[in-house]
Amino acid sequence: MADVEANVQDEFFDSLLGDFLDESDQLLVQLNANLLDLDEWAGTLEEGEAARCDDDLMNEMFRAAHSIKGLSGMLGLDQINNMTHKIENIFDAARKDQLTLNCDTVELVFQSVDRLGALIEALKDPDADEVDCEGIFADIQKLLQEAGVEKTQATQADAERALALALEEAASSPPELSESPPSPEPSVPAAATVDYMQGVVDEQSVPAKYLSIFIDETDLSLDSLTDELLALEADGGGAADDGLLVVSHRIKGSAASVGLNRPAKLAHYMEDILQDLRENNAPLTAELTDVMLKCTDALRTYVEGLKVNNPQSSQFGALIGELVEAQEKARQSNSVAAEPEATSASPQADQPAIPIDETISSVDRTDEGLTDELLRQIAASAPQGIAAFTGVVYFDPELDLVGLKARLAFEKLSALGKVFYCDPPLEELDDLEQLKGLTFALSSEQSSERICSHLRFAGVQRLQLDPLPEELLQSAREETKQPQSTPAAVSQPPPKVSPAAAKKPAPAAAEAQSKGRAAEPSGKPAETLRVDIDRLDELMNLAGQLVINKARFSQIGEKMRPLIANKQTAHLLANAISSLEKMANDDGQNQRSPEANMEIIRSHARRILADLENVNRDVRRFVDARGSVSELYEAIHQLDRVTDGIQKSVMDTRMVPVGPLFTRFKRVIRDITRNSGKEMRLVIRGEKTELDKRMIDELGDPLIHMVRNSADHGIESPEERERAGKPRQGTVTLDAFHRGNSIVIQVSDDGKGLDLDKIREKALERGIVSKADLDQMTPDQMYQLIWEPGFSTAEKVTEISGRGMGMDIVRSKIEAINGTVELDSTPGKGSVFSIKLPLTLAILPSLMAEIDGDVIAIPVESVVEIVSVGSDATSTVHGQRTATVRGRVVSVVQLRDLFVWNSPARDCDRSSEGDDTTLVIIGSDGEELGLVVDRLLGEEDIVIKSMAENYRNVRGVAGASILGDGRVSLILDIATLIEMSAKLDTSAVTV
Amino acid sequence: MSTALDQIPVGETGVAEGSGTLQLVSFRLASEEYGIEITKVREIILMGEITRVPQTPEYIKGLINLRSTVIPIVDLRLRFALPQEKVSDETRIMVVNVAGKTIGIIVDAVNEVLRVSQEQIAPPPPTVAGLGREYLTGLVKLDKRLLILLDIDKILGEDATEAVEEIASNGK
Repeated sequence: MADVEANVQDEFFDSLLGDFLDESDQLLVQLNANLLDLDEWAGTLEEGEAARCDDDLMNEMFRAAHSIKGLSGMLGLDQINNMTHKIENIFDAARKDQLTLNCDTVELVFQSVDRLGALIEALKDPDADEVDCEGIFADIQKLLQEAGVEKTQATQADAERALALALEEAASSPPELSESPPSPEPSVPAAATVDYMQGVVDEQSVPAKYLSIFIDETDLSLDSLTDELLALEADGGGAADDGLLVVSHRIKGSAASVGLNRPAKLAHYMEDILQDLRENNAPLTAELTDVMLKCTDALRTYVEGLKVNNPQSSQFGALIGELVEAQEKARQSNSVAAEPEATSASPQADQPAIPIDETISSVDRTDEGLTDELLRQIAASAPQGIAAFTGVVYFDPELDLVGLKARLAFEKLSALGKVFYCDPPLEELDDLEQLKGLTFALSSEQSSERICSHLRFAGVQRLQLDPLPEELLQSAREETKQPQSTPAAVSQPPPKVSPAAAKKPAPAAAEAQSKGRAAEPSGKPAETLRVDIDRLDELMNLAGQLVINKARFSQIGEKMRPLIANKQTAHLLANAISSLEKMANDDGQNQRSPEANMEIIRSHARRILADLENVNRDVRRFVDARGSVSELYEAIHQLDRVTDGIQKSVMDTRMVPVGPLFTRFKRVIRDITRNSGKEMRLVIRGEKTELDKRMIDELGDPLIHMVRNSADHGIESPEERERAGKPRQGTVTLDAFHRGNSIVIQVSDDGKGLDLDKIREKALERGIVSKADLDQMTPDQMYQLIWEPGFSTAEKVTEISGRGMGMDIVRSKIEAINGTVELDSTPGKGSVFSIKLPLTLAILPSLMAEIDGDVIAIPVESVVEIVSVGSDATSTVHGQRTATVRGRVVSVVQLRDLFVWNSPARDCDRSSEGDDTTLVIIGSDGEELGLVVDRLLGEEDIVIKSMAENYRNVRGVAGASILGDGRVSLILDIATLIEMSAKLDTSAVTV
Repeated sequence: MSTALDQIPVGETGVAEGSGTLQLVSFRLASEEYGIEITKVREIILMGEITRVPQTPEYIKGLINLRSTVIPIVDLRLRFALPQEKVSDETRIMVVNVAGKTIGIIVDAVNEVLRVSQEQIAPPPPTVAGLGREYLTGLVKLDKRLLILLDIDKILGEDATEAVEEIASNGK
């Protein structure tokens, strides 16, 4: 049994670990990006200058570190927890001005974050080396000690503890604000709830992209929270398990990390209580479960609200009150004897919590009390110069016609002064069947006693009335001056929108303007869904099959067209029939020939006639079928459109912007800058260009290599650059853009360009080419030598570029995703690597051609042109056929000379010698080749099928594809083909 | 197009189902009868058009499209160096699973599905030498016939190295 339990826990832990890795990866990326900003900022500082860093940046980093800390602590990953704690301390000290940030500090943080990254990596790979953190710890310790801020506690924790203490006091002392004597009203601490949410305000401009992630995650978390709670309840209570704790922590974390402090607060309380229960081994009581479920509902309502930019968080305060209360009660029932005075301190605790059968909306209406937000909102619309009151009239729960009573209360209030806030609004009062209390705000000259006396009438159970705090009025008035203040609330339908929330939707633009920040589009945040990429692959595969099937249908339709007899045939047939008819019915009035003879002819004619009539019927049916065929045609067209749509949508699903991939290289450049003493910057362009996710994944390694190559070998030292009349700072540019049917990614630098002498030297030394060959090469051809295996232009293998991955591997990696890579270099000006990628991995626009009876696909992107050359335009050079095409000499190859076939060609109806030859000029890396084809079949989008899946790769063949008729055709690998032909060329021997 | 396995006649060998029994699909190649474990056989299809592939050993006839998957076709006659034969009405492609891959093998005819017991299987006699020896795992003695048990996993296994050598020699 114990084993089983351990297994379950392991599984649970694994899934949590997965989540942690997922989340921490994102957080690390964010941390790194922020650090780079910080680094830039620190770099602009003069020596010894003390400046304050951007608070937002600091807070963001603190939050990221804190989130990792929290998650790792939960999972018991002590080392990571420790490390993040230290990092967090630095940020905390910095944002409190206890620590001055400079380049060295930033470097230290960089190192720590790297170490943290290594620690997290080590989780993924159990065989990874131990990550040594002690050195870093000591450094941080020293740094903080020097700054005089070394602490034993995380400040956040301190703050939380202090808050919790304050809350306990608030919960255990009788509510002071209530005017009525303690009554069995369950939600008495409503007045106190104002304190729970005091000062807790959601951040006002949460970028839509984070918001959507939050919504997405929290939806899931809430689901599991509800599940767990319900499961617990079904089990009849019992100990709360860690799952609940983890989930509530996760909600807290993700809410806090996007700045939604209100839900974070609520989740925090839930977590605290669960933690407390766990520590005391106490069971989760039914009340607690109820309240927790209610909190879950409230959070869900809040999240739903977020989706339409109208989050409702006003009941959070009340819910926290209930939570604290329920916890208190649970604690008492656990230790009645131990804490007798606690009972007297909070008499309400004996009362049951809010009955569960109440709908959420009624909880909304009545139990919230007056939250801070509400107060502020009310204050904003308060008329000036007159004392203002807020209050709640609580009605008897069993009261009939409560709406009328409420109206009565409203009218009484109106008589006393001006009611400028009322919830529920006046218009709704008549229709209400259930109402616990009427919340109002009144500006009046009367004293509070007088107002109270007016309101005491039958059915009113309790009254609560407070003057509106002066400072609130003051601050609210200031807010009113701003254009985005909330409109007066008197007749506003459920005015539960907190000021913070109310500002979020429409006035977001104004908000952004006033803050001088780029505004995220304020529409509702896009909902996202995490999908396993394998499923997308599968979908892509299916879409590919659909494309093939569609092509097949088109072919069938095409074939059927001529099969249908046309109208003319039917006509002719009809004519023949009618003339035969005449003949057959000719009873021979002028009988000159023997009658018997005539009779035979007639009977023959009749028989033919009968036959023909049958044929005629069939033909007519055919004519009808024509209609059906054109219908089929129509349907195929429709299918065509739908298929294209599906294919495109599936492709789009997999497309992600290249930006995040590019951003990774900022760090690479920064490190090189630091280590090499060179000055350079990275310019990123076209970061919005989208690429298939798989390609992005595959591109990381080759790109890193190219960027390092440019930075390390291309960019000169500042002095050298100055001598060459260039700015001291070098530039490495990453660019992505569409070109035709492909996407180009360029890595360029403004350095010295490739060193031809070194290439020459190296090529000879490594025996890549012979001296004679080298002498004949153009500079451009020599540049291409760097792609040869075993070639590296670095004089000494540096830490940066010499990580073993040669340019040949870069190239093969890119070719593995059907891309090509080209290099262009100008001495003194720099070099450009261009990676050309197909728009998608699976579908390739190709030129279909027939060669020796085989249908062969040639990728369109490799086709330079198609020409027809006469025999006079071809000649032989060194036994190799060449053709002159527009002044260029192109070698002409037959596929059968390059490939070794093991079976004879299907048929050989090739055009006889002397006729014009059709050449498809194919090109790669600037080299061209004329491929002889027998017949061109046209262009088609083909689906690439892997040959290695069930067999293996074949040299010169990029893959296979399925044609419309179900046959398999081979896709040529142009680059390899050219290579093969070059070998053929140099050896001058046909295989 | 495809022949379901259950349409193949089931031979009676008088062996009851038990732990020591093996279910085989038997097929004919030239004048000999072979058997492959039924668990390896995915389906049996008729001969269709095969797309030839360059740079491959002779016995790789080429590729076909099996429901949108491209699979290679091995001509067993060529693999075992038997004389070539014209495709007949009985010629079939057996689609088999081999080492995680799906391949098709061309056989002269598919005979039946039969159940044999372990006792009926004898090791291949050392006198069966030469080509094909390494693909045999045993002989099954039936009433009047002799069934050669084929180790299908080895059919493709070796050609990887062969093919590499071949390409290497092409390059020169």
